[in-house]
Amino acid sequence: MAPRERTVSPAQRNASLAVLALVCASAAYLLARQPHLNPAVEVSLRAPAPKSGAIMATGAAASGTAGGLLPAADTLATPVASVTPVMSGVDGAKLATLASLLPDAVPGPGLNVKALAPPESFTPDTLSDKINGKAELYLAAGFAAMASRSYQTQASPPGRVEVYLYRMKSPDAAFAVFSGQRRSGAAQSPLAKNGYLTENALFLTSGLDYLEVIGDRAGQRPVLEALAKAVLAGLAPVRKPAAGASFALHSGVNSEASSAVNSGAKPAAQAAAKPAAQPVADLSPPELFPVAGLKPDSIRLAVADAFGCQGLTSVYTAEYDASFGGAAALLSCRKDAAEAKAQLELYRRHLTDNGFVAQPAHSPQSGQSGQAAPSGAVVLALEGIGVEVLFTRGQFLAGVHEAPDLATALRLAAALDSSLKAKGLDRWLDR
Amino acid sequence: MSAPEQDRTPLELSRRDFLKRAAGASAIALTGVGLAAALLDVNGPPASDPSGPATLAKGLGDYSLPELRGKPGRMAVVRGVVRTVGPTHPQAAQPDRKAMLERALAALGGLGAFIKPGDRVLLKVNAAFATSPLLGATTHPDLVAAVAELCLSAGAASVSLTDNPIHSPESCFAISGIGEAAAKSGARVILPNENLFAPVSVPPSGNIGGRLIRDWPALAGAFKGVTKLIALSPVKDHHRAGASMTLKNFYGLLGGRRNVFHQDINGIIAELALLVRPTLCVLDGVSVMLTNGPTGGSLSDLKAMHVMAVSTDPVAADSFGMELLGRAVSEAPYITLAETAGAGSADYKALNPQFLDLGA
Repeated sequence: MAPRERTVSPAQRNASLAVLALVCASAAYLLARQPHLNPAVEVSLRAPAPKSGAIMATGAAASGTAGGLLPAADTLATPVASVTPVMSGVDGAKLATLASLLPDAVPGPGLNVKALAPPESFTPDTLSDKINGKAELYLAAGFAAMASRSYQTQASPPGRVEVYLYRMKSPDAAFAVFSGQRRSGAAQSPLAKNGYLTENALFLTSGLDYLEVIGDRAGQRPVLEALAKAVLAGLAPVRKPAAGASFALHSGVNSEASSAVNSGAKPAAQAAAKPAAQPVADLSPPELFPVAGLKPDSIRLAVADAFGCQGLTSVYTAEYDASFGGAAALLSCRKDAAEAKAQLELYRRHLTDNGFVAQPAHSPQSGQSGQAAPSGAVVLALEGIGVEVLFTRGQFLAGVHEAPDLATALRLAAALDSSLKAKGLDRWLDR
Repeated sequence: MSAPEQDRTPLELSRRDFLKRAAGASAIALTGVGLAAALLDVNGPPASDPSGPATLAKGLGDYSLPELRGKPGRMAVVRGVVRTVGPTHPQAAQPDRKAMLERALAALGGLGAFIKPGDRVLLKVNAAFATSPLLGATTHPDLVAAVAELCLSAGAASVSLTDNPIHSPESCFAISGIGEAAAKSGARVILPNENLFAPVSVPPSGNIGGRLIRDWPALAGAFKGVTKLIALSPVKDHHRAGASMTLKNFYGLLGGRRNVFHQDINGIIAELALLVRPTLCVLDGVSVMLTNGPTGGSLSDLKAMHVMAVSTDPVAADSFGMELLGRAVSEAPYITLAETAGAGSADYKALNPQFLDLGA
């Protein structure tokens, strides 16, 4: 008998496809789910390298020389090696270059400074591992890399010094972190125009770099300066040149002039620091603040979100003494006049959103004080906070921040306006 | 090919065979899915020791005194005096922290009111940086030694201390002097080894919790067997958070790439207030970092205030710390957020704190 013809019916085929679809769906589910078994596992996998020694034997690892302030070098060496970021390509090369600027030792009479451990390097991703919450200050300003190293001094008693070398993305950024942390009343450092000394530390900028040399106690100035000199000696060959006119225009860190102001130098010195008949493109905000009443060392740069206003960038502030009620003047050099006006409008909106109320630029009060607002100025006030004045002069946003009253605000605004005009900026209006 | 061979082609399945095979394949597939679902650990392992004190769901635990839960906390503030004649720098001449601590504790009924014989005490110190204690960025070693000695004197079975500085913990404990203080006082330093971390979550409370710390690795292993927790915190300015005191100190219990939380610093610190409830908080305002925190770096960042606060309420302790910093509580929004979540009182005066002066 011939075999009966058997074929797969449509129903069977459909059922087979359904089973296959179920199997495929199951496989897809497993594949999709597998990488997401538990978020914490992923996080743990991204955690820093394992740390040796879960339980530190009491005493042994903690004890060091000199009353516990100076751990043995080998105590430091292991974790240093384990956490130094592994980088590749250009970033790795940059980090290696930066770290190599921190010397192994600084010989000298009475110094004998020796490194306790290899340099450590940090990227934007790892900076907070080293300096925790302060990392945001550097990241917001424009941080590229940081290298740090610990040193032991052979003075009596032995001391410990930490060196932090921050490579920023621009001289502006370096000045921003320098000025943002400036300790008032500190002594000017002879090593740099933008540099100062406190009882135990030295802080300075050099081009793209911001350097901190921090001792563990007061009275180590020779050691701090020797270490700073050693680092600066290495910086010179690798320092990036300023980006010509655009640097002067937008960064504003004219080290000669701004430092003369910042260091509290006499006006004559400041004048000497500036070349005669500067073209406007070479002017930088620190040079443009009125000198009378300016507090020494008070010029600061907020690279981003100045005064808490999102989008308000690259704003220099200068604080004034009691003759201006402790108010601050502000200046920001923009790409062009349109951008300056846009920044003004941005900040004006920020102020009004926060309760500031517009004041007439020629209010009776200003009449009483004998001082009118600069032409085109916006004046806003909030009781209990102060008075703000904003205006533009060509590509510059200018103004007064937190003046105690309208009369003082208008007086400082007028002084700032006069200073801008004296630099010839009135001839560059709306260019 | 012959006809009989054609009869044996795979297409010539009987309906019964087909159904058998389909049922078998489905069973295998379903078994695989079921097995995967059974093995899937959606919640992660428990963070806390089940035999330990009551836990906050999967947080690190509630170590507050049961009799104080849901009630106003207790607080004492002591002003110390420098009796030695020596260098004039405030960092060189500091009051006796142990004497200040003892005076504050005495006002709260003595350490025995908080630490019982047999207790296993964990000290959460701030060892975030490998810097000298003179720079005020870390918990002062004198305070660590004083608390450890007093706990052991009160009959504690053990005293350990921990922190997760992420970067080079060994150096941080050694250079800050905390390691040596622990050694001298009989405390044990628990370094944040990777195997001590386990995922934890903070349950929602009010508008806080359940959002940031979800299955996040925390230093749960350091809490194994612990029955009491004491937080020892310096008072510092903090660039991002406004201030770093008790609650911010708990940031050191987190692992992983925790810097992502800097984008919501107030939210994360408020959740930390729910992550763990301490038995006691000691806020060290002997030398306060007023500027350039949390690292500082210059002695000029510090101001000698010679004050120490001891409180059972971490939120109240921090609100008092804001006064030391000369700032309003609103300048550290996480304090109010933590209060809203029920972690304590942002009005420390509501605790009727006792103010004591060792110079009186």
